[in-house]
Amino acid sequence: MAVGRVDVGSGSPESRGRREGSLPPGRLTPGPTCRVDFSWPLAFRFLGRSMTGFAGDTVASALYANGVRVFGRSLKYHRPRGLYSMEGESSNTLMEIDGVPNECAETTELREGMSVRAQNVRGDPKTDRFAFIDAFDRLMPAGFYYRLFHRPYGLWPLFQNGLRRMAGTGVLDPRRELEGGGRGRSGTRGRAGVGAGGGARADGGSRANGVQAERYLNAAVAVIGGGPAGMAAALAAAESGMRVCLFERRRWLGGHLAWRAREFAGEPIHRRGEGLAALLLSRSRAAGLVKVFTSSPVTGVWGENLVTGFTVGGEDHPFRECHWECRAKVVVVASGCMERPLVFNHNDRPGVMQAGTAWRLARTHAVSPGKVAVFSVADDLSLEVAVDLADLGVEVRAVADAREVGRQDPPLVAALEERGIPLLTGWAVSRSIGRRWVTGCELRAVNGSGSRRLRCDLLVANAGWQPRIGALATAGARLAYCTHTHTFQPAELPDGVFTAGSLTGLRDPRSIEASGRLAGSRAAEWCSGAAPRLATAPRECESLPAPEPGCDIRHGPAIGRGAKAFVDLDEDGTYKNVVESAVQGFDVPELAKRFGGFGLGPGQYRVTGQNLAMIMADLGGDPVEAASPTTVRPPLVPPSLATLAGPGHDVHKRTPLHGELAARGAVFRRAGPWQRARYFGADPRLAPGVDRGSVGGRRSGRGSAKIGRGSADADCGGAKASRGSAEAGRGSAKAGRGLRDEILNVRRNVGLLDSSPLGKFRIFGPDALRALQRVYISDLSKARPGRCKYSAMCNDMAHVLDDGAIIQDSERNYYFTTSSGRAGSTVEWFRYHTRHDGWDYHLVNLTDAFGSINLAGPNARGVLERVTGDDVSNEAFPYMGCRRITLGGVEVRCLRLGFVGELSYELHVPSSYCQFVWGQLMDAGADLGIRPFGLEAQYCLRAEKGHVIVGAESEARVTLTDLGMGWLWDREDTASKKVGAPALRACEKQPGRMKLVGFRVEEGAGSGGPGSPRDGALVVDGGEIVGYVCTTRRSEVLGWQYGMALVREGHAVRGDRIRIREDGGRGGRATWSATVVDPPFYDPAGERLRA
Amino acid sequence: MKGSAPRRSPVVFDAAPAATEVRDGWIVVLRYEEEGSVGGGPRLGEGPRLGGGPSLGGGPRLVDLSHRRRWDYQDSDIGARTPMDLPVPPQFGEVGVHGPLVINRMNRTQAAIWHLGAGPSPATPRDPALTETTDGHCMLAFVGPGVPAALEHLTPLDLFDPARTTPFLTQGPVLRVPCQIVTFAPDLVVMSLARGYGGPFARTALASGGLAGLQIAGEGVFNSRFAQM
Amino acid sequence: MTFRLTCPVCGKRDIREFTFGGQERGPRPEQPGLSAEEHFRWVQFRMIPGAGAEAGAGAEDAGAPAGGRADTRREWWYHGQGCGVWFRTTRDPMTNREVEGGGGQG
Repeated sequence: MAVGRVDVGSGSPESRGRREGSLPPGRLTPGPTCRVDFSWPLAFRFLGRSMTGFAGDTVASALYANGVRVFGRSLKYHRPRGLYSMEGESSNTLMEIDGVPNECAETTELREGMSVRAQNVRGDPKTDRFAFIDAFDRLMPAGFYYRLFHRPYGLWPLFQNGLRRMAGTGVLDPRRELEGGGRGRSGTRGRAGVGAGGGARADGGSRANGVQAERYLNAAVAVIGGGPAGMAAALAAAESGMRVCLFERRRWLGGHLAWRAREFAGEPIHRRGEGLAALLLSRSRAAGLVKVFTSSPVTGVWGENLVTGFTVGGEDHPFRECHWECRAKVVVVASGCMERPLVFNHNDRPGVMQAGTAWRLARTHAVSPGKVAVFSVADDLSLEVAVDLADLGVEVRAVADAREVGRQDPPLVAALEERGIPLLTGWAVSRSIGRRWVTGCELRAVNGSGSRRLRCDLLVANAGWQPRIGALATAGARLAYCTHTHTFQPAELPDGVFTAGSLTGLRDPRSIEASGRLAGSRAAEWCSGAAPRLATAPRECESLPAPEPGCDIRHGPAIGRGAKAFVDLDEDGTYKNVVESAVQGFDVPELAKRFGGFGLGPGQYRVTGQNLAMIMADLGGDPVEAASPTTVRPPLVPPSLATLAGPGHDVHKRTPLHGELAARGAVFRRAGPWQRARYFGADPRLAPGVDRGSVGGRRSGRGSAKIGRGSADADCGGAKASRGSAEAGRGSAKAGRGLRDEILNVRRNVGLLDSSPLGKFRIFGPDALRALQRVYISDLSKARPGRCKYSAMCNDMAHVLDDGAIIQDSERNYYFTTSSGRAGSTVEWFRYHTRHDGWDYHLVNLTDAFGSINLAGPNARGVLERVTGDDVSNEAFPYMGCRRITLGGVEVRCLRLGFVGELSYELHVPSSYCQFVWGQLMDAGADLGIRPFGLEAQYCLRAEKGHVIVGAESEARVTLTDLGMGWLWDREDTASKKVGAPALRACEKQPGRMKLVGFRVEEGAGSGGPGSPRDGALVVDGGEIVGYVCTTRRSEVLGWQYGMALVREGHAVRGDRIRIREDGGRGGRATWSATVVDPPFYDPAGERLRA
Repeated sequence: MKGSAPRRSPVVFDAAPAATEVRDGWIVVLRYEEEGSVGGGPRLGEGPRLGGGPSLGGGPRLVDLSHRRRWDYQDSDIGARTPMDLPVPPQFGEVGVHGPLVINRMNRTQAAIWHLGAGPSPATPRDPALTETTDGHCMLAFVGPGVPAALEHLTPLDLFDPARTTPFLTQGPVLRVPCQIVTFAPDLVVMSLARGYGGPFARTALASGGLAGLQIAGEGVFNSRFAQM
Repeated sequence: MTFRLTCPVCGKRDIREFTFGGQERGPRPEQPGLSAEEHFRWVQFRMIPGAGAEAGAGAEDAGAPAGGRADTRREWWYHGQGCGVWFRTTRDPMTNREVEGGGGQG
């Protein structure tokens, strides 16, 4: 299966068959490797000017063809920058495309209607208003950001803002939403296989969710690089029956063969690549073993060969970018080479470019790179470029080759001679000449003797080749300088990582291909343990040309001397800055990188890495083999943040009653994995954020609301979970009627709460009781059929984690409930704390199997009696009882508990019947005033009753006894080794602990104010902070403000007057007086829940 | 009496059913309108397929099987037991297909039994080690050509490892939700997950799997494929 | 940063599927006569690789490596996204790789 757009061949013959006379301006006659289709023009805008490109262009090639030479301005000095590379190796051509900043023009495909703008400029990049900054470079030496403008310190923010305004790259619009793949306006241009998809997306129907995608792959062999070596490796591995994924960052396969027209071994070189690609794609279609991903750069290789990257969606993709992860047994890295930039004076001037850039402009995009060219190179492939460009009509005035005489490939030397191009061996460019772009250059002998000035509008410069080591380095390979190839080469490869291709220094196309075959068969062997099928591959490799010697030139002749020579284009890091770093002691690449910012820009190590290391070794007087690379970090190629964020799906849990609640106007909130109803009747005044205003605009309590018995995430480490406040609850007590009505209706009539997220479990087996005794703090041998036994779980530090009811269903068979926040970790908790015991018990998580409906209020029994024939009288079914009753034909488990402080029945209904049962209850209770209530109401109701919620009234410092719940603890039992018992024993008598107390806020002028205290307010004694308010509300039923606080022991005894304080906020400091009273505040005798 | 009360699946597709059947209180959709027409089928996660694959209309389908009965079986000596007269597969991850019933060996002490075949589902035998979990789960089937490509958008799990013999069980995250997944064949995968996730899970599966052409279908598509097992 | 663990039931899986259960510290101590200090030492103290002993105490933990070198650790992990089994594995914290034969003890 082929993913991504795969162009095997090149443009159609028709498009190439145009006569030269009809060529668009700036274009060459398309050759056999051209990928631009002149029959398909694309209109786009650059800085408001209309321009025309063609299908197959990148934004950069189209701009270049339209005569644009200055693409942007540099980060610090605002120097003009042009098209230097073709693979996004520098930030020169980061542009704002269709409103998205920092898009790489070199790799972004041109589309109809695109709007392109330059970055870091005021106005046109040709005439940037900040261009004068270049002259003030003395103010900005290496590390200036850390050293200058800091004194006096108070002025730094001013400077900082100014510097940031003048520097930097694109500006992100945080309000901008990504549209349907960013291609909404692009029409339906497409190549092979573009169907209705493009049109379907144009309506914007796939906003947000459809734009980003994720894909997970499993393979035996992952091949990084779709050049000849990568393709050969993939084919070899697939031949051994392995699942193979191949990732190629370009839109097409073939690597550097794809634009080489030279004859080699009887055919044009590009044909070799096309042949391999066709074979690979036919394999992938046939067997399904090979998956080929183009337009898919790798972002990194992680532990145990997880390869990550992303695919850039084209017209035929339903996504803009798709993040993928490929888990492979073996990785073959065939990521190829890039040019090592030559560091010389004014090497950043537009018109200076890599040999490959000039070549690909001409051969891939049929764009004339320039009229008169000078070359300063150091390898044979670049000589081939000079010959090829000369054949395409570029006047090549001279070729300087930094290597000494005799190192050049004789046929290429002959070809240059044939075309009358002077070859200056042992020479290199010393500086470029011109203003905004190159008009000439100066060549010098590398040893310094002699110089020549030449006029040109294209200066092709490099210092030879360097491998793309990114994938290798992130995979964990140790790299060392190789004195033969003069590149960094893997000295040590991690398990299951192989290399192939030009990365290893090979240059001969046959050798490159053979190395791929060898790596592929070795990879297959590594996976299967079987002998490789291609036993001839090693011998084949031996018989072919080995890696060629490289060039070790560090920089151009006569470097410096008042001119800027850039080691790093992105961060404007010059040769002089490297010297400054070294002088100040930052004299190894890793230190200089941080001090001077070399290689910290978007291009990362690519432009800078090897040059920085070589120059640094040089400055230190070390031999070049001492050069060490800086650490390469992912992402190797930047995906958009939206891609990393993913499709944005939210897979949450819904209760079986979600639809019923929504129909009643429920306002939902997320509690752990669940969506839960906060309250009903979407009163805008109750919406979060709005209700804050209603309490005087002061900052509301910290953290989110922790609600209900089903409070989420309320584990023992829950300092974060504590001090929460039910914000809407507060707000509504003053402003909203809806919540107050819900509360009063439970107190006066009957309410219905969906508490389905409540944890529900079955535990059975010979050792079930032992397991319960281990994790629960009470004596659960007292659990009986038909009775709810209330207990709590603590952790080893005696902090309360959870509470719930335990019911014995039969011998060795129990049913128990947990708070909804703990439901997900209950099985884990039981098994963890019995992991050494080998007990025979079994847990079944029934949380989702039963919905839970809490029927609460004085009329609850009246409602229940109408829907069941079973006896639910107080005598037959007393408080804390548990019965199975049949309700409308459905058998449900019914627990008579009283969390909200009223007569209430908790019905555990099989989930599929929940809607039916809910409807029965609502119908039966219609004339008894039944109405649903939400978590906010439950939160207030239970607080009036003084019932604690773990995480709201407890936190990571609070034990069971601190909460006043020590009566739950079976202190006699040491045989069960209860979790938390030793800590409870140790803390019980500890002085100065925080204890939970209740209080009543005093009313009237003497108390304080303004307003009333809120959750999280401080409890103070004199000037000392002695505790804080966990929950406080004004009770409609009681008519006064009550609350619970954690206060250091001794500072709040019953009857005491305490001071509550809130600091900050608009009103400054506010204090209130309160009296310490024992909870429960409501119905202290508990008559109502036993009624 | 129980059969008379209506039961609801956690998954409700936003599409018009063409044929339904009431079974044990559940309204089972056998076929949706437009299903099977060329390029058709009700779409939620709309989008063209990636790369090659089957022709339109025969792509991967998502079928809700939440109404099929399921049981959890746990015993410390599970290998010697025959819950519901089924032999427990000896290896972890092994799946036994016995007519309409499928038994998955989950770990040392646990197995899951699914009723996937046609016909009435068996009653729960009186066995304390057995717990019916039908209402605890959402169950979904992925049927048809292109299922592997659709699932690649949902899970990093290797559900089609050529080294494993089908059918086999995988327990792991799909859309980050813990699932029990049985790979019967490259074109038939059934998974169960906590019921609460059901609705949002199915919606997301369609949106993400839709990139590979995933569409919804009624139970009929699953029935005819499973009958070939 | 990512690595994998070998679940005794499910085989090699991504680390994201597991929860960490701390180092192996032996079974829960008997409670009669257990002093607070002994209890808290068992709960809180961890062996630090390379320290040669558990932090702040004598080298009483069996299996503590000698010398100041980071060494392998015996750990508990829970396969919460998968089969729901706690297991022990031996891991080298320098490489995050399991040690040969370290995985798979239920």
